Amino acid sequence: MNKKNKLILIAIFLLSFILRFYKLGINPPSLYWDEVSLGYNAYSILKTGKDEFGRFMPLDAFVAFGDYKPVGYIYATIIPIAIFGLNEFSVRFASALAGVFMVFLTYFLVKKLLNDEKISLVASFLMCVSPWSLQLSRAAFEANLAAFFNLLGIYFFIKGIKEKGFWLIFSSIGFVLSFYTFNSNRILAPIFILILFAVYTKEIIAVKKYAVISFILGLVLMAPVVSYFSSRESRLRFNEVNIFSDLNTVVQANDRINLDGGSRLAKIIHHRFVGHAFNYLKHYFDNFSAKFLFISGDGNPRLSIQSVGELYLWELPFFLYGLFILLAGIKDKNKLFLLLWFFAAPIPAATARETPHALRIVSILPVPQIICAIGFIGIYNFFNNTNKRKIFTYAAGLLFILNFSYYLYNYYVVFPKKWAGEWVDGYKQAVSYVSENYNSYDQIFFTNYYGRPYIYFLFYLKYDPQKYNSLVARTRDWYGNWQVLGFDKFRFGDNLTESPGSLVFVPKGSTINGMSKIDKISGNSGLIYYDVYAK
Amino acid sequence: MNKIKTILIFIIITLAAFAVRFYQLGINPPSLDWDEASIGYNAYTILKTGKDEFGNFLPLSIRSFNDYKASVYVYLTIIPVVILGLTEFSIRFTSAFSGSLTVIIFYFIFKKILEFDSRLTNKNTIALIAMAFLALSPWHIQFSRVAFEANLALFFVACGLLFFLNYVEKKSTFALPAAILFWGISLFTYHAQKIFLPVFIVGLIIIFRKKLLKNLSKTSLIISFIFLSVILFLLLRSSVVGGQSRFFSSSIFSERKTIIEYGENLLNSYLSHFDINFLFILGDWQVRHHAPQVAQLLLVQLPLVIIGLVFLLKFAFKANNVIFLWLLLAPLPAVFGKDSPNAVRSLLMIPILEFISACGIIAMIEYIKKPFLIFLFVTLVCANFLFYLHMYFIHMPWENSQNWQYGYKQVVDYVNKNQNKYERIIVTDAYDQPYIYFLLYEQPMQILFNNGEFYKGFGKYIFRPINWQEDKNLKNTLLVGTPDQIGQEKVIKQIDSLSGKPLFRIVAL
Repeated sequence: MNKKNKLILIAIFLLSFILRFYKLGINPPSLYWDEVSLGYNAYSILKTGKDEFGRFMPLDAFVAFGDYKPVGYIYATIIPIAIFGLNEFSVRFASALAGVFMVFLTYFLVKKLLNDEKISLVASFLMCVSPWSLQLSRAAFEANLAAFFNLLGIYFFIKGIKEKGFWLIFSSIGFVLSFYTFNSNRILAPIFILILFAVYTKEIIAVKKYAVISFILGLVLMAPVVSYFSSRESRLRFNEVNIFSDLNTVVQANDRINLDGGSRLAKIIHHRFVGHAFNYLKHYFDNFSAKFLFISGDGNPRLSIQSVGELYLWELPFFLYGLFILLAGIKDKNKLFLLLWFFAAPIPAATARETPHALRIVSILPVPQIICAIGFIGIYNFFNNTNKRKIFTYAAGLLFILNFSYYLYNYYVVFPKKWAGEWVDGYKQAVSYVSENYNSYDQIFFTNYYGRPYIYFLFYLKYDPQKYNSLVARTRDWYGNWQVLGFDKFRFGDNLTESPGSLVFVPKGSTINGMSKIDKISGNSGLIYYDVYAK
Repeated sequence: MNKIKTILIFIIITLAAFAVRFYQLGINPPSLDWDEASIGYNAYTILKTGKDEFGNFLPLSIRSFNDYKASVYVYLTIIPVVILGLTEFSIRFTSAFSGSLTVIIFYFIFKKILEFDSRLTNKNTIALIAMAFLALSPWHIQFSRVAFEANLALFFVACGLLFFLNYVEKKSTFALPAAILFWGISLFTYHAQKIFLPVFIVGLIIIFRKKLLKNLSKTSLIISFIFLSVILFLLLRSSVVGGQSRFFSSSIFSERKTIIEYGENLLNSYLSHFDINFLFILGDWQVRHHAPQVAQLLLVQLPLVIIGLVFLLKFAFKANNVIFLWLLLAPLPAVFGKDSPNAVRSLLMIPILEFISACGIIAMIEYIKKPFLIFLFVTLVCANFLFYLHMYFIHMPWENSQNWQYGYKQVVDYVNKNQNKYERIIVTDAYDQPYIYFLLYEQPMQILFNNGEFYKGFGKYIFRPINWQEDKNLKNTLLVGTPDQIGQEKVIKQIDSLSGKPLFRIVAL
């Protein structure tokens, strides 16, 4: 590696750090409730060793809202909270850092796989500026941390078979961590391990001692979480989102079989599994639609800024050419592995109704960027003299800067204003209003309209976890979701009986008879969210 | 492959192409949709009076539902109407017949294109497999079995290309004028051609720039020039007569947006035509554009198309120029539409996709060389095709009859038999354009020229929503409404879809 490339690499790392940490605490404009819950549970573990429900150091899952969050992100957040305190920045810290590390790993992985300095540099640069990676690195998304662990597992696997078998142990640890961090990775980790073993069979046999050790180590480390899979909670969670519970498919299959007289052949070709298979394929290929990848990204405004795709439009031609190079060179193991990685990543996500889904398939990163880099360098090498190459690089660079500026403008100027509501803006201000007036009222009523207010109270008041657990009143519905009715002076709900000495928060525009409006609360975006009444 | 064998296979494929396009043509799809009904009625009035539905003498574009349809389909349909009478079969005949011929034309086009590259050894095999794929293509069959102008236009574009390829290959006086003539006709067959064809021709000129002038003779230049002037003259004339209103009313330009949003929309709808879900899994959102559970292509063609694409690109065959020029431009007519992907406007894609599938098979034979795998794929293709036929002929009419406007013919039949008993007949317009079915199916048929208000009613007929609370007090009236509009009381006749869902309820007051 020459000096120039070293400088470029350092610049890329620096940029990836800036892009992920600059204004991390205030853009996205506020914390979504999942982020808050991760943060408070980490805080609770830090202070008491127990979670929000008083369970000591859970390893299978955190109950949280009843959605049973995997444990990885919460434990990873303890250290930043210990250092920076309980705030937006420290909650998002683990994800942002994972994003930076992924840029590093991309460079080293591509170098190991393809042994091409230029492709490695371009790939890590594209990862550095990737809207997909940036969006998910800049909020507390468990999936992003899991994608990092997944990449770590793959990187050490490749290092293990190409250098020393010893590294396979780290690979195993990487996969186990991804397994503990995000639900999709509980299916993906075994799939990726299977793919790696199938593609690199010969190499793995050469280091079989370490392979066996790592494998057994992995199994042992996964043991604590196994009991959770057979629990009612995990099945409920799956049924809630999966496509196979669609009744129309069954009705349609029965209609078709009846029309064909119920023959055995009809029962086979019109079997509901055929319908389910088609549904599955539809959801699977949704993740490869041009609209999702290149035009507007995930439809959820928390997962994409809506004006740029998951990849830059600029990358489209390079992506296509790179894909072609991979397909045409499929006999090369490393290329085959990249392709299999790319096409395996959406396998678990496609069982759910909401597709395409940038979050659930994020373990696909950095393959799309590697593909674009291969395509880019492919076209670059296609020009055979230095002048033409220079022109190509400058022209492509100029177009990229246009595309990148458009992204930055939208991310920092348009996005925080336009989608503040999606990030449940306004809670922070409401809670700080409450804490200033805490002593003046006997009871404080707060609306459920924007969802899960209690966790914001805990978070922004830095409420003592032990005290919370002894004061809280909560109920649980059939699906296992917990609803907190109140603790301390706080009561959450919308049908409230007010007594003298109470402070009431209602959604903007609602009125309460017999009380006087004393204030209104606006969020970071400047929009008004609450009217405050008192008696 | 020897010659006799080639001819034999060619004949078999041709027969198969005709067979799947003509079998049950009049009864499946189970009913004429509005456009087909309109095309049929206009062909009939022009045959009988020389004037279209509105009394315009030999019009260049047919006003129809104020969408000013291109007219070639209507004029060509006069012939089957003369011979076979005005039936569903004869209205669709033009499309089915030209669709079958398209399959033949493409065999010759593929063969000519493949000639460009000397590295390919089994050109004839590729051309035959591609022809077979096109003959049995769900997308192409779907549009050959309905009176779709787009399908006829594809035929003319193909004819033009074949003559053009002839022209660049060898000296011939008539090849160039014939190419211009057929391309010209295609412009009057389907409006969307006006977007594809000019760009396509420019592309061809660039590709063949070195051969372009080599075979040009004075005679062919003069004839071409005459054809070109006539075409341009007619084109200008027809565009003056308000022809484009449909284009703008259903295009994305009817909404206000920023330039970047327009660009995003155009690009998105262009790229959506290459979406795997559109091509192989779900098909067009409009159920009339494909059979149930089968998309625009067979599912098993997905790997074939990918392998074929890699094969074509990897070896950079000279044939690629024309193939990819066509494929990349084919969705252009569809990008301005609101509902994309759109299988009608992008129909031009299909012959090329079938050609690429054929290349997939060839690549497997030549490079993968695993007989078992090839056998497996051929079996899968056959099985998938039989599944498609089953879905098309058995399940499509049953599941989708209401989407094909099934029920209108039955309503008109009933009303015709009983109309003397009533002073007025009120028919719901909930399924749109009922008037055209009353004109088309009226027995005995008499020609009434549309004064532009027929969609509201003519003669005894009134077309409007039924309001049961008010309308039930009318006297001497026959009410035809939807199940939403008319409850079950007093119903003297109910018309159900083929799957038994009530579509129309008729009440006598």
